Amino acid sequence: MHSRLLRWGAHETGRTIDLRAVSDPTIDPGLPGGRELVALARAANAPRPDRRPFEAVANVLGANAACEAVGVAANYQIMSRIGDAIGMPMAKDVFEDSREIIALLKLDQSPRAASLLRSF
Amino acid sequence: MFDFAEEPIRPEIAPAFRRVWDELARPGRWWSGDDHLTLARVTRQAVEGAATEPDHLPGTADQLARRIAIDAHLITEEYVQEMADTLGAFAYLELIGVVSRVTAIDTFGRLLGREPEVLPDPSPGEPSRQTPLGYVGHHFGWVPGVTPTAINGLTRMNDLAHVLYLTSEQMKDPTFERQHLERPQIELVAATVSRTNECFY
Repeated sequence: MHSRLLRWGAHETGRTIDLRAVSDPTIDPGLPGGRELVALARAANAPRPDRRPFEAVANVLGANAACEAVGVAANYQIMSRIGDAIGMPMAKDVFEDSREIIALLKLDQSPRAASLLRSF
Repeated sequence: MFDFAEEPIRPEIAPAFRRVWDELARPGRWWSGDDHLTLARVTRQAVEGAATEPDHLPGTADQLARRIAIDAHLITEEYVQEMADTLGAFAYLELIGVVSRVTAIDTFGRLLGREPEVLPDPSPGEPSRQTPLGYVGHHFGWVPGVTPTAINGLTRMNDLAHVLYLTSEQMKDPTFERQHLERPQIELVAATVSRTNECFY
């Protein structure tokens, strides 16, 4: 669902982005360094230290940007867990506005999606 | 501790991580410092694919820490109710905050190719078990008997978010850029981590 912010940010800055890249690493998201950023994000749950995704981002976008990306990835380890563990509320209009993304990213089978659908 | 001199890491990040480590070492409201650090070790064992080593915590707490560390997307409303009944809703929230922040700080290090930072020694003392004003409510999300203030206060969810991600004001700005990373690129990383965790949000 965080992809709503991604969609909004891209729209407001005149970027064209392929949201499917969030779920499918074979798809180019269409942003500078996009493939490398996706690879770094997907490495967030690697069980061992691995600097290669960081180096790949740094080679394309620079070390400063790569460090920022690492921080964002770390932060979303928190947000994902808290959101899922507390069953973060979501307004019905936000849910309705997100239906396209929910289907695109195949989120409709998650426990939270099912619970929200029941509550609406 | 948290020496990032080799990388262009913003100077506010290492102190923020040290504050978390200091906080973990101290007694909280519902868990002691020793409890926090045991939960941190259980979190690391789960992420690394290792079995949970025997510890002093109730089995429920160990299992919950592992679930939040690696399977938070499988948590259901019924499971939250069961945990709130067993551990207490406030203890549940404090545990979420410990596990999620340790996971985040370890992720930061692993993505830079670093071994996990050594955990601090626990400070002595018992949890206060005091419920601040404004924490008791009907429910928030799936958690019974709590308010949004309790969620923020016990999970400490914004402690690192404002340093690693964006402040509330910055979130409103789609043109925000920091260290040559533009907002859509920031959100691409955020959304992909969320999706990798199979998180609904």
